[in-house]
Amino acid sequence: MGSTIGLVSSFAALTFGLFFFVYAAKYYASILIALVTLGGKKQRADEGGGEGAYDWRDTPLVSIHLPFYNEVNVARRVIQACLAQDYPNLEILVADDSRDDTIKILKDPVWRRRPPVVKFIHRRDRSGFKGGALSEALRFMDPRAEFVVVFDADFIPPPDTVRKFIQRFREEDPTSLRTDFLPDLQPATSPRKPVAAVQGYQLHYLNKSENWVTRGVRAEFSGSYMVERVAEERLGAMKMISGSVFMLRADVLRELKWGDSITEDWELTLRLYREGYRVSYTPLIQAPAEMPTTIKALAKQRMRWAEGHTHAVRKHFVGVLSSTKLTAAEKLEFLYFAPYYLQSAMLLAGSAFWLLAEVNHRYPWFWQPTFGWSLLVSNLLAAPLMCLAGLWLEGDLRADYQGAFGLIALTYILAPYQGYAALRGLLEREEGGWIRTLKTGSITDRFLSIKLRGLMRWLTLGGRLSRFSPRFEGPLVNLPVRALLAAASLALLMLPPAVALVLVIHR
Amino acid sequence: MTRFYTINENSIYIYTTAGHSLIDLHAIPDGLGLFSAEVPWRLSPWVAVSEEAPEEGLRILEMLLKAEGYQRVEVDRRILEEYFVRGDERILPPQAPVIVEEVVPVHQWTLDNRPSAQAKPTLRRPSRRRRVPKPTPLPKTA
Repeated sequence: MGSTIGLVSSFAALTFGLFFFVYAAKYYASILIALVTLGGKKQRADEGGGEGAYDWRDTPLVSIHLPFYNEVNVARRVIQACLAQDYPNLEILVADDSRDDTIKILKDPVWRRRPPVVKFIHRRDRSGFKGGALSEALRFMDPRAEFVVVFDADFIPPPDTVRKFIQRFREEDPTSLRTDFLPDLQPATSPRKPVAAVQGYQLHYLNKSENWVTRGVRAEFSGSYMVERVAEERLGAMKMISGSVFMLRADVLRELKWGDSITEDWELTLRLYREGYRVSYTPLIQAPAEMPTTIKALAKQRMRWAEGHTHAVRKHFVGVLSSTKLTAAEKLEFLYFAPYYLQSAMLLAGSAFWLLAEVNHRYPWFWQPTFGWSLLVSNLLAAPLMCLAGLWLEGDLRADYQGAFGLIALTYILAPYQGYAALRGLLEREEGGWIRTLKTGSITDRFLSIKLRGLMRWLTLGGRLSRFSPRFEGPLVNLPVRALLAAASLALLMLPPAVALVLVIHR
Repeated sequence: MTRFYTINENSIYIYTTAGHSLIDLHAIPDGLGLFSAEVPWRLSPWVAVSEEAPEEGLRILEMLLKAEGYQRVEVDRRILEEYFVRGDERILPPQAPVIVEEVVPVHQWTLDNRPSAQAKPTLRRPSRRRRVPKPTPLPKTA
């Protein structure tokens, strides 16, 4: 009996290990792509544009939507940040579901004294959650608005955010802007799919030095936004709208509307792709935000993401894969992303099977401990290395590298919560309720616009201005970090296949 | 006049034209049940809308608005909704029928004509103290 359990456990552990290696391989490939893309010649051509590329006669009305729910700590600062945008044709809509003193902030006459126009819509209930609030904002939006930008309440968008979004739309898809006064701009004949949304970088930065949890989350977002999404953009894969710091075409949003899912952003993403649109991503548009500061708050946030994400995948799985409007790369990315949160359940199951196999000492004939360990090392280091690469690309490796180690701990601590929520999302008929992430308004690290501009220049000019290029000023100061990261990624990517090959040859 | 309000069923639309600022909503007591957490409301630089407002609260707010120089007019709800969304004064009817009521300026208030004397019911709670009749003075004896 024990031998059977051991053998079955070995097979299961190996299967899970290989499954995780698929994810790890994508991370390593993403690191290589991002290291080549950001700062290389190719990036200059595609991401450039610069100030001169945009014709400022063309300023379509942009509607900024701010969903609020008891945001007394941060409401004032995000409204002020939106009022400080340097884009000339704006309206701001606050969709408020608050029950606390946020309402007093909204009633302040100071918001009505000068342009841009600020509208407040208060609901007495939370029907439809954030999607419901955004639907109300859409209902009362100026009908002349051509673009919608969404920021969560804990973000502080820099003054040039909206302008950069418009610029990005222009670069991506000139036909999405009004052309009545630009006679030279002909309708696009490009076979590329139309862009419905541009996603910017949610720079989780403001309270990064608060504790090891915030450092871990900071590193995680850096890896995701500076490496993974950059690679997805380069490969033309599916990219999701991530709840905040994105601009949508208003006509598309009016047509598709917001859903009432607890992950309304991901659900809308899937519907956009099914309708033949695509989402564009750029790390050049950044808005700093704060992070959950405790494991409890982080676990609650991730449980909501896991449940809503998996539920939406279940709902749209067949529709996305059978759609003729998605490219092969987009479908492949969807397949990769579909069990993203179920990985946590698989991580737990895989670890349990591995332990059982080790206890029983029963392995299949082809099993070699060396291969198992190579898989483990490769899988374990993928996410931290991606975070380190992301931090280096941002020029923050020296300050924030500890976060990559915190992330390893967070992965295992959050796994049971995410796994449970993902399974619930997969099996339940209806989604659960919205679990709110408390925003404290705490700022431990001022986001210096000078630093941001330095980064922008470096990215835009592709490192031509060497003094702005990211550098590691710690113990490894003299080493070529880019080459080191690339070599490590390549080595860890090739480790399990190389070990397997050697074992086969020796056999 | 540039300051108006319209009551439509249980909703009140308070609005201004010609760039005049709206009434400060902090001046409207939360106890009226308007512009509070429990009712849906909206606010733009030119229109404030409170929906599903309690009748009593509406009546008191009306007095407050009159005291602030607002005039009651009858305007179609759809027009006001569009005005909220777009802020374009040209969509408002040029001569909105003003419902004329006597408005007594504050400085001419007396005990009898002040709005609170006419308001029924008031927000003031009835006193729980039982009024004790004054004792009848005894007739003076010689």
